[in-house]
Amino acid sequence: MNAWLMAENAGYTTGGRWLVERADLALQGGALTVVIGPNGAGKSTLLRLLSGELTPQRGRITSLGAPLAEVPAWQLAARRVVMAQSGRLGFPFRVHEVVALGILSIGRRLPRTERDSLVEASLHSADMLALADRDFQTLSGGEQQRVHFARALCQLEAARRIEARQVLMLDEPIASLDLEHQFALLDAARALTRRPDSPVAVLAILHDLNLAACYADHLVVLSRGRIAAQGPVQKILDEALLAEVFGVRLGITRHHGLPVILPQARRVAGA
Amino acid sequence: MSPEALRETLHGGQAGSGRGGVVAILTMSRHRRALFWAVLGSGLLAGLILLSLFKGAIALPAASLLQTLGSLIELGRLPDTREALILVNIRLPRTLLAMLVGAALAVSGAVLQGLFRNPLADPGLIGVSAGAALAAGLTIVLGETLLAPAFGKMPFAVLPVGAFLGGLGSTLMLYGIATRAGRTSIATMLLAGVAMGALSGALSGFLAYLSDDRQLRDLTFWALGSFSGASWTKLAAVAPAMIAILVAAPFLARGLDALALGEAEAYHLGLPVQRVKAAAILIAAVAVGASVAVAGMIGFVGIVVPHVLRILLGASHRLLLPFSALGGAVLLLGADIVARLVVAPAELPIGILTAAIGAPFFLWLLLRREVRSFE
Repeated sequence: MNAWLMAENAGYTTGGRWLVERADLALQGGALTVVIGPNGAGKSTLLRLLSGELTPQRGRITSLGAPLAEVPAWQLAARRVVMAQSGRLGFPFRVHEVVALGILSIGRRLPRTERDSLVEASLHSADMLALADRDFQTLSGGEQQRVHFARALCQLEAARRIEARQVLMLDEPIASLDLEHQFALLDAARALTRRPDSPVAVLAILHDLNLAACYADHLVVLSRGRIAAQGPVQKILDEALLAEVFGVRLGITRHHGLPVILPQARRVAGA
Repeated sequence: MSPEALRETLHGGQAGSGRGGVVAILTMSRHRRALFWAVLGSGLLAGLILLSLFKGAIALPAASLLQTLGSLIELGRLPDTREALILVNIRLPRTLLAMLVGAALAVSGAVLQGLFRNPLADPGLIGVSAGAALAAGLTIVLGETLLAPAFGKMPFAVLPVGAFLGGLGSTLMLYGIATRAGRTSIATMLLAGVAMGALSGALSGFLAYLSDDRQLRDLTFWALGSFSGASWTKLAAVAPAMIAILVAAPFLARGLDALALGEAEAYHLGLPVQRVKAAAILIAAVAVGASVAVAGMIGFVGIVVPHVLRILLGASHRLLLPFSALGGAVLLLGADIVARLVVAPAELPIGILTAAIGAPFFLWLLLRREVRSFE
């Protein structure tokens, strides 16, 4: 059976350097996959390859068995939804208008009342309904991130009527969020993978190792363009891997079987 | 609506229940506001049209318009009066041309701003008009020599085509220079626009040396912009293309809205990004080329009109594009009336007038830090 989204030996090079060298990855509904790795490891490039934004120069990436380049943009928009890292806008759009951009293409045939209620429900899920009429440009970074999450949810929900096998890609979705909203967003993402009818496949790039360990069903560790390790958190996340990939020697304890990384237990390299 | 009021509404209705929800109310109030401005704008335009027909170096009494109309209906031809001739052969084409050019320039501004994701893009500011004017100048000076043997006299319709190609060429070059790997650098765009505008200006100046007296007068006219040469011939040459782009532009609204997020994001949303960009460039080039061909360089309409409309109606291109057409027509028709009246019986080149209004407006924009996206 074809994975919903699959990278086989995929690589992308620019300026004489392989940003992603060889990536093998399969995304399947019901799993939250978390990608971690140091700066410049190729996390965002991997996500941009998987979203179809970049075309791999080596290997291939397929959506339900078809190479991404052969799937028209509108159809791909039903199968995968992307929340990218920077989300600045050049114009003073209102918050609810930004969220409605999510269904600009995929929901164009829906009646207006339905579009409005999709936008409303998405704003509600991202806890942004109270700011629905604010100028997006005047929001804080964290609030803007929540609006983009709402936009992604809106597209996802509208597209579900067309395609049940959906992938949601989040590039550092909680980078500017406060603690409460970090949990809220990741909880929402996990809930999507547990949806009884048509569970979603989620791919998230995170920096916080503890949150990654806490939420990942499948952990992917990137290092210098290569996948250094992937698998269930309990199996792959250990001190040796962290030392090798991040160059930092950290202490790891276990809490209910899950690894807990303690910055307090950092040992200076070479000591 | 304040956050408190929104929360109130939310507690009244159920979240996500559609009709009666917060978002439904917001969409509704936007539609109502759009309707209000549409009615007001149309009324204003109608008033300006009447003013434009009656006022000028020679004031025409309302009675003469009625008389002309009556005669046209009764006899099927125009009365042989001076008033009727002025009205039908001078004022009417001029009025229509000012409206069309205003609409086309404002729409091209809105489209270029959407394409470049920046409210500072204006065909005059980023050298597109200068490119079109250069091509128009080339057509005047060289076209005569090249085409005269075949046609005897250069047909006027060649001019808009030349200006269009000039506008298209400069837009494509600018986009190519400012965009790397799907990202448009605004600083590069503005600087490249300035450089290309200067280059086009220099080449146009060089053309002035090559041209004879009559050509020189034509070239000067391009530099300042004016509707004083309006005629049915000119109108007929550019109206079809202009009306076509005014009708086509609103279909770009969805694509330009998506592009506001960025090219990659627009693709993620399911838009055929390359096609949207190509259509935007084509529409802007046709609008600017046709405008420059009949009226010369008229600056700042493309930046002032969309900006004011974004304040009144919001940023969505679905309203912005059709309203830009209306707003541009109102602004330029009004400016033309002023240009005809302030120094009557002579008249001011309209480009001077729009620059006198537009440049301070532009500085005020910068002062208000309205422009956030200077990357």
